[in-house]
Amino acid sequence: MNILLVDDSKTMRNIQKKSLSTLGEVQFSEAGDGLEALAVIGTGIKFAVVMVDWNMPNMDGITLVRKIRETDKATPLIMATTEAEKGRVLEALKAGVNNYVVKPFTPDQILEKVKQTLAKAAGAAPAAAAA
Amino acid sequence: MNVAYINPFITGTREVFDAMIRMPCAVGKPRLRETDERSHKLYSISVVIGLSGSVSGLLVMNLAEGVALSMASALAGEPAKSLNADTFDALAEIANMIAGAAKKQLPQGQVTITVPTLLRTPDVVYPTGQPVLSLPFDCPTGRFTLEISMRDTGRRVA
Repeated sequence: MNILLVDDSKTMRNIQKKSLSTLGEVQFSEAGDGLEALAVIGTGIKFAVVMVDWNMPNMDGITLVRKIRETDKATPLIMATTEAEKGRVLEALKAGVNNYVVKPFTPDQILEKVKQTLAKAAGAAPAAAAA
Repeated sequence: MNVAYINPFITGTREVFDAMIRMPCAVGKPRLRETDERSHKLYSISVVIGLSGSVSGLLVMNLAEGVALSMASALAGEPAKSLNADTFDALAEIANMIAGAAKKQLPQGQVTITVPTLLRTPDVVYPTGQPVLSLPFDCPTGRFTLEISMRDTGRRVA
């Protein structure tokens, strides 16, 4: 599977990579801000999940989520951010994220969030196909 | 500065150290920074994060090189051998997470934090007319400080 990691911190992207590589055969793509992420998405790779940080230069995560959702309602998006206030979580959900994980997180916590999100997306896909 | 401002930064630091740095870290006695205090005698690197919204001010994390390298190594999970771009990135992310974990607990409500800036400690400029609280933390490789200068703006964001 392909996973896109969007965070302006290379350290954080490496931490996520280390944890999520235990999912199995994973190819990672990376972006340091929302604009770079859109360029990566524009190459046509189908991502199983996109991890999005909120506070980034050039284009922040919430703007990126809204941009993605203009044309793609299906790709699972997970906000991984220090923004923990209820208002921020609601704003992200309204923008179209499927899940939310607050930094700091343990490797197990982020892995579990991604597994939950993938499982839910897999459950939704057969239902959509049958409809 | 009251304890409602202090405790979020202590618990925020502990959360980051427990979850991601996985190193013990004990807070020392808080004190007010002296106006002419020369932190650069003890520390050489500072990470600065601006605070705005319902509060206005700065968070400054001051470190000596050895502590900086050990914290960056612990977060990244691989040795940081010098103060290079990767090390600075790790330090910035540590400060970012501490500020983020703290701000959700501040009593005033929604606070916005800036992208971290790395500076040489002597180059840090503190807001004038505001006290600066200094929180020392001791971890296995040495001491670092969080300095918080913050005032309530009276603005409340829903």
